Amino acid sequence: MRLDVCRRRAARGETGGASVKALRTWPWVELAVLAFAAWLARDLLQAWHHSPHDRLGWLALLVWLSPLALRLEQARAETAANFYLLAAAIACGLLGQLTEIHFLNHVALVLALGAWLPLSRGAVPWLLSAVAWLPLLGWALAGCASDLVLILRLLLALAGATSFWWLKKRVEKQG
Amino acid sequence: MMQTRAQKFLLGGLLLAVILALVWDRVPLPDAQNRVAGLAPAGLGFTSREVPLNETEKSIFGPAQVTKRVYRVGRQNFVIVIIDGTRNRHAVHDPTYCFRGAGWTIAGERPLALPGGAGQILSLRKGNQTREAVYWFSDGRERHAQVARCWWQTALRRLTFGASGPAPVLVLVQPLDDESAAWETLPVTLPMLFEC
Repeated sequence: MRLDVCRRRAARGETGGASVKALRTWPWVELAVLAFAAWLARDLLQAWHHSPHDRLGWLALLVWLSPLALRLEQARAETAANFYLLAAAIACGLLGQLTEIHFLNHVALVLALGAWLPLSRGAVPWLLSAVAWLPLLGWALAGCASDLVLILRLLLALAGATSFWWLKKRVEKQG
Repeated sequence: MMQTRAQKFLLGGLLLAVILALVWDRVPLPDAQNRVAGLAPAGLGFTSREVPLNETEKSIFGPAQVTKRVYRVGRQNFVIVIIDGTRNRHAVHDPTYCFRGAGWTIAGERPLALPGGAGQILSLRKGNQTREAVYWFSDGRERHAQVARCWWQTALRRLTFGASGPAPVLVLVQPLDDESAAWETLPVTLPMLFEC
């Protein structure tokens, strides 16, 4: 199910008073879910700052976000979020908060971000590659040098982002 | 503001989640304060001194209750850290992860039999330095060195408001100098460690 939330401001080139009307069509609820997930995962900032194996993990996040950023840039006429992923983000975040398991909060943020891309075959490896910016990877690779972990993080995020575009184009060609 | 049915559903779920998260956070859990604070500072054959936490440690541990002391037993000094993560579960880390983060390499691990279970002896190496450390998680009765089990215990406690069992604490013991210790005699040399 796709939420019927269209942002047509850019498409129409609305300015001035019309922007008030455009604001009404903004996906406020979906953005609120994203904000909730980001708030729950705020410990990421501390991990990226303090933990040697998670250092500069935010760089991997930026790389990982590239398909999302490019899509928002290219498809400003229609910005829709996936209802199921957002609902899963709320459920996962709540469970993470009740059990104090940060990993679940991190997954909630991944889902809340992933909801803004069309759920396709290309999105699955991209979603999975989100582990590139999570402390879970630093913990799993604790035996490796921290510089190596950072390189792996960036490569994994890049692979996830690339796979998204590659699979998307392949599907488009087949279609 | 026009909202679709799906948006209303999401908004309801979000509000419910926020309320539950806030309420859950405000319910205090029974902690291990008595067990940790009751740790004898001196006794037959041992003395101790408190070691203040540095700024990084304070930042990491936050509201968690932490006891850090140097115990002197005979000629040997031990740094002992006990963390009760009831007020900040994330203060209780996997000790191997912490050591690696501090630049140590885990050269070896072996179990250590303890009253009520077992701990884990870590052989650490950094450059020319070698050191050993022992850790275990204790709920006052059972002792183990399984991080996943500790996470599971604390998650279950949080979900049941502490009804699932007493709070597990992390006990970490290190010789102060570059040397090993007769770990098997720990229950005899530092018996108070087995009361928390």
